[in-house]
Amino acid sequence: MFSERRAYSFHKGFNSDNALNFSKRSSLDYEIMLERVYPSRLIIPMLQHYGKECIPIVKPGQQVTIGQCVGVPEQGTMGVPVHSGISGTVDKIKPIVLPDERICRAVFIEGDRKRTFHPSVRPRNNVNISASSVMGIVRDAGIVGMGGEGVPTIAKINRARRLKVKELLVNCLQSEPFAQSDYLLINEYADYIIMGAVAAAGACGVHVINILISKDRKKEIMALRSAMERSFSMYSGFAFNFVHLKPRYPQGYYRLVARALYDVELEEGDSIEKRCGAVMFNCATVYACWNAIAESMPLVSRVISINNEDGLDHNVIAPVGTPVSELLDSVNGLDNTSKNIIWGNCFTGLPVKDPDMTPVIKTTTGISLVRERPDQVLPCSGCGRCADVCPYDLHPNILRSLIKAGKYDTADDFNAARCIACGACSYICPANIDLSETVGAYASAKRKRGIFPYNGAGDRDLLDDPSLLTVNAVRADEVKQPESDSLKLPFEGWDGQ
Amino acid sequence: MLSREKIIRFTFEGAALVVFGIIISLLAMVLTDSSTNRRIQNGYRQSFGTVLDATSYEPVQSPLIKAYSGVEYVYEGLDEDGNPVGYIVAVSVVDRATGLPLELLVGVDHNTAELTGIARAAEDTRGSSVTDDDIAQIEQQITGQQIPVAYGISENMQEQDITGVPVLAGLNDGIYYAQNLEADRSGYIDYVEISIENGFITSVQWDAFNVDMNIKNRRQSALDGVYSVSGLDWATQSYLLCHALIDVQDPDLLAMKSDGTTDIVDGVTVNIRTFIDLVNECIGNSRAGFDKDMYFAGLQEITDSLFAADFESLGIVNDEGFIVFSFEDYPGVFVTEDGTGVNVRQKVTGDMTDYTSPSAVGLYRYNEEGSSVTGSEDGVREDATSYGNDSIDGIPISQIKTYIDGIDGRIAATSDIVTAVNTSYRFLKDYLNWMA
Amino acid sequence: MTGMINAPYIHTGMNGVYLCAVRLLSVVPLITAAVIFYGIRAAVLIMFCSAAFAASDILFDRLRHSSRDSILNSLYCGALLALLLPPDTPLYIAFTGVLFACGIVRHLSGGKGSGFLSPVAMGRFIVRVLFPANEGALAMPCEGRAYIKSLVFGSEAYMTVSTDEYYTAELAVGRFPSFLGTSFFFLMLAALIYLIAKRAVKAYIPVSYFLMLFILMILRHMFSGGPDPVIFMITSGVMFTAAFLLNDDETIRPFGVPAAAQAFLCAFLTFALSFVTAGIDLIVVPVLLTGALTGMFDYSEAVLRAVKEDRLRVKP
Repeated sequence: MFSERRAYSFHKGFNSDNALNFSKRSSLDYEIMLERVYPSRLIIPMLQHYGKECIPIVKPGQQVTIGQCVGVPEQGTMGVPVHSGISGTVDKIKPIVLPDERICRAVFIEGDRKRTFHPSVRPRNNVNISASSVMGIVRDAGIVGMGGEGVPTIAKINRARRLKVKELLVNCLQSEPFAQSDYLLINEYADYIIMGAVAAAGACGVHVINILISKDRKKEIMALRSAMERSFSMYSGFAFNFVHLKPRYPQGYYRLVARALYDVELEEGDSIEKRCGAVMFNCATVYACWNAIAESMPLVSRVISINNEDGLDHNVIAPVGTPVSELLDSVNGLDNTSKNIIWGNCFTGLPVKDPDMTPVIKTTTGISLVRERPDQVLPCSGCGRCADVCPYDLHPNILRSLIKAGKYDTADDFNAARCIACGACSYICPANIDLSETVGAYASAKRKRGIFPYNGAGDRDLLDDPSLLTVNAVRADEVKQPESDSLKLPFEGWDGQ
Repeated sequence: MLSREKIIRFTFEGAALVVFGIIISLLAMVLTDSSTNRRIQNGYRQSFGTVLDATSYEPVQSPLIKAYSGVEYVYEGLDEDGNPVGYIVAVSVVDRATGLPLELLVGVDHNTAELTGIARAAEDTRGSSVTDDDIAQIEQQITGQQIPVAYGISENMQEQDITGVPVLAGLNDGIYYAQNLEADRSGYIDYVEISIENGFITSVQWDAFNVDMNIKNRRQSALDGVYSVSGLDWATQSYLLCHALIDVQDPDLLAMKSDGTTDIVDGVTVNIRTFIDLVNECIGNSRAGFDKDMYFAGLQEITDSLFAADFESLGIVNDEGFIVFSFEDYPGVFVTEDGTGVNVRQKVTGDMTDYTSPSAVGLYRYNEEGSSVTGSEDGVREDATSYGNDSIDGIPISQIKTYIDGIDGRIAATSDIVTAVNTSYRFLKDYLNWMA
Repeated sequence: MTGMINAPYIHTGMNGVYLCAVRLLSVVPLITAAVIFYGIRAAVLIMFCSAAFAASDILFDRLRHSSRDSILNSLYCGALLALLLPPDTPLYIAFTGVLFACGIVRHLSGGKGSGFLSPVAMGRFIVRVLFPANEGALAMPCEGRAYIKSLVFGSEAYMTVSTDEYYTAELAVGRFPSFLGTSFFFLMLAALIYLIAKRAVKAYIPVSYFLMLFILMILRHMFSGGPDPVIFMITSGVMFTAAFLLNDDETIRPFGVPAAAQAFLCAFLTFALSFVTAGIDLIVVPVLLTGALTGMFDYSEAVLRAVKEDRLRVKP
């Protein structure tokens, strides 16, 4: 049913000191139970995905319920709907500035603390649905890549179908320090993840599902195995594989996965689907898929890790749109007064200027509280640690010297443009030199498009095609199953297509 | 760039590492002490074993070492129980022949002050004229004897040292002997033995053995402190007197006064009458050709006539071969019919000739350079009227315990080695507070 | 975004100051042992060299208007230099070594990390060249701890040492006349273990060097005689090289030739030199040669690459 293979890594050489193995950094004794956060208000941005901003379909003063659609994408644009995670009254609709400096409208909802669900949110009796149904549900539930890409999942499924991929990868390789949200999800909802993966695989037209996970995540592996055994009767024709990878940041990045598993170097504009014949989804994404299928629950909440450098590792399920300040207030004993609040995780997040006005969105995996870093910079001693940790085997100290000296040609000769700004070099530099800032900025400037939040799933030309949002592309060999639910519009306010 | 916690942690780690270093170092020292000691003692044994045999050796730290120029370092030899066995003193002397340094190791017994050995020190540069053979010979002469040492008591004068006309005429070469016929109140029978070469008296010995053969002869008794006289010990006075006689040749020149003492030999305060009488008898024996063997044969003849037995069967021969017999109970043996006292020679030969002749004016002996050299002890005396040295190597004559012959023809080497030995004595006397 | 911090928002605790502190702490047991074995003069020498190195660093940094590295690094280098000196070294000789190491080797080459010669090794080598007699300024450990005249006048008795005279136990704990900090094998090993545990050094570098050298010495002993390999490894001070001199970021360079290969090269050089020399030459000369050779290799490789990619010609 499932097989195991050796541990892969993007780093092929001998590494005596895995300084980027953060699996042992903080205690893994996180809370067993996920806590739920019930905020008093939500700020739901209309742009939580790759593509164009949605259009709000509610008005101030309007009552909304949990699961109700509050924004839909403009016709012909890349986007998926957004839904409310609390019940209450729409207070206002006004633009906000997200930490990544994007400006978009947001629907402000004042909660009524009643937790009233939309009528469409109910368990589905028959989950044995067709691929097209899955695609429709995934689109209408507003599911996007929750590992940080934000690419609408329907678009990825359609792209995978067009490119005729052979296998599906479930990314359980959360490798940033302190980040535990994916692991909590796996431990709590392994069944949903397995079934979500099955649904996604069926939608993509593949039968091989590879679960990518660190080899030292024994608890999570056991949880997934048990889920597989329990769910075995519900699916057939799908082969699950556990693919073990070495715990090392940034192992989960799609290009490094391609290098580790397929020995393929993805260039600008490449994708795993095109070059490797595989499509990769984050485990939270497939969980959301099955949540939408089984519970008819759109993507209105997610697991968020709240952590700080003192070892706090608090994981909550919070509605999308929860203000950061309310999220932090929900954690007992958290001192967030003199620290910096990071929207995301320690390596790739963004600073939060106004916690009251900054919400968590579909792609926010965590909120981190970090101390001020000491600003004393020592001279570079040529120790080579940055070169050791660079995933792309660059020499960041040399590149930085070249870029600062204006020798861009030479910097390009040393492959400066390949830098993915993962921040590992800055992290490890004993002299506290911010190598990633210089080299990463240079590299991103050389790319065709900007960072979202850092280099995303590639193949942007393909992804900019709104036809990827359709669910009409049904494989010829697909057997139509009788549906008890309508294909379209399970969620109020969505016209589909 | 270190947080407070890290600083505190590093402080604790640093303290822990200091403690760790101290513990390991001390442990290392303790665990290797025995090996190190064993190695050091092996080294010492190699260096000092021939000079002083001991179980272990410890360096002696004393400010006195610096005070004694010539003393380089001192080691103490210990037995298994840690009791001192003796001392090794490394002495550096200036070779009289070359002016270059000679460094020797001198071993001295702690209890008996006897010399245990002499060896060339490892630090010696071998620039001096002293050879290993010299050292071996002197070592042989002194080992087992008490220090300090003087050499030249039986002066074997080289022929080339003697020029000129003998002071006393008519002396036949040989060894001549005379002993008192009666013991004194202490039971001692004095004797004098002289050697004559080329007409010169070259060696004189004055001692006395006791009728009680368990008592050592007078000289040894004096050295042991058993027999004491006023002034210098009797052994020293005997020595001085003998040397003075060699010097002047004629016993009359010793200017004995009517009370039997003399003023012209420094340090001699005992009654020398017996000595003078015995010397004169020896001189007479020499002129008569009546040597020591004949003297003993004569004594045998006399006792034979008295007891019809020889010395051995009578049990009157002591370990040194002397005839220990006092004729005081037989007064008539050495008296003629007309009441004249006779000596052994006259008794045996019947020749009554007076062989003591008036002394001639003393002539000085000259060495090859022509300056007057008297005595073969270290130190050159210019004036023949004063005798003896006040000190030898800085040691009063009275403290000299052993007299050795030295090495023929190697005066400088003998002198160097003896000086080294005496220097070690001076140091040890001070260091151990030895009584003189 | 003025005043805001940049990603990544955390930094490894093993920053430069931390690493310097760890390295400095690693020599503390050796310093302690040196003081216990050799007394006041050892303490004075070590403190003097550390202070002099720090003062020189500060002075030359000011002169060059360059940014300052942590003072802990200077203290560490000074202490290392002192530990390589004979116990009876006078202060003026030690200062010569410090001045050369800091001023000429480090700063003249452009500061820390710019050159390819270890300042400590080079400083010590210069002392050996300029004052060859000082190599015999050794003393018996655990004796004369209060003796301090040597700090001004040098040694009273220069000595050469043959390890044959000593028991193995004495050799293993450094209880034989040697340099201040290169003879206590177990403490140097403890220092290396501490450095590896703290992740301040890459373990495979010193291990490669030490094991390769040990194997070569065993082979030599088997086929052509030569010193006992165990005694050699314990007493020659190569453990000092393994623990400290190879890990100064200036000898084993992270670019070009793999670090293990550089460690092997150092071991080969030490082995070759063991046929013709001994003492401090075996400790510092291979380190210097390795740094020089790999530095030259990196440079030549860069030039060749530039030539190949036609980047050396002047563009109009």
